[in-house]
Amino acid sequence: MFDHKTTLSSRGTAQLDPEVAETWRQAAEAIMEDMFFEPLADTPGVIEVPPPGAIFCRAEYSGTHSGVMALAAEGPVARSLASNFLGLEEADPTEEQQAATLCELTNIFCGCLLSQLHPDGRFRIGSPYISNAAAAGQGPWMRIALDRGILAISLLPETDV
Amino acid sequence: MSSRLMIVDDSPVMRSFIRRVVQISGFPIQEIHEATDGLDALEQLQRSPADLVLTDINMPRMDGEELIRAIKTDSRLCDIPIIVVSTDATQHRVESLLHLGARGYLAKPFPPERLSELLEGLLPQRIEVKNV
Repeated sequence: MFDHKTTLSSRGTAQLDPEVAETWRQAAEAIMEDMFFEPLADTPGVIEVPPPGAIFCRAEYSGTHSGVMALAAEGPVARSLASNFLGLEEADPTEEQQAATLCELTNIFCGCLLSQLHPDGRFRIGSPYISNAAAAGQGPWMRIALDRGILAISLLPETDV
Repeated sequence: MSSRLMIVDDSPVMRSFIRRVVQISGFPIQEIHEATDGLDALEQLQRSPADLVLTDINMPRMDGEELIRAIKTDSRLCDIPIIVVSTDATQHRVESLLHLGARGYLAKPFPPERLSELLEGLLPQRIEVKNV
């Protein structure tokens, strides 16, 4: 199966292998629509840096492949995702609920992507945790546009971390 | 006839999501119990068995695989159907857990109706089906 390595374009910008990028896009669409009831507002694209001011979450994985899954969510996106996931129709989600939802979302993205990129692999995903921007991981990031703002994800194998 | 269901997951928001999907699906569930890991689940089940267990795999203290082994080797609990709900959809993981005795495997992400489909046949007939 293909690796999820990044390449550099002639302009030096980070890019994802097109096949890997398509796997990420399909995962993002399924996860957002099936479990968070949020259709994508636009076709996901690759960016080099996550949105400024985002809330970061990170999970390390190990096994036949090792690395870091990172997620960055703008504040309104974190609130909207938590509200949808928990079925909160009127009350705003607490910061604790938002953090827990982002951690679960990171876990789902990580497991989903690893299972698709390496279906014969064996992994253990560590408990996701809220992190600061510097510790969240490097790019490239996939930019996922939602109604309330931007969500970005990054999956870096250990050799790139 | 109503059922007792146990949800085992170390993520409180995932437990809440599954609980909501089950409740909205219209199955006549009498009680839904929650456990934060396999050990917590096993202790609760030994005090009061459930009719169905939905469990995550990757959890602290006792993971889902160990929980399935423990349930299947306990003569009071071994007939409880178990459905695994996990992000790990790798082939060896799915095959090994089904081989251990899990009745179903639900890989995340999943639409709510997929969980309802898996519960069909394991729980009493639904009373009413509503959309999430």
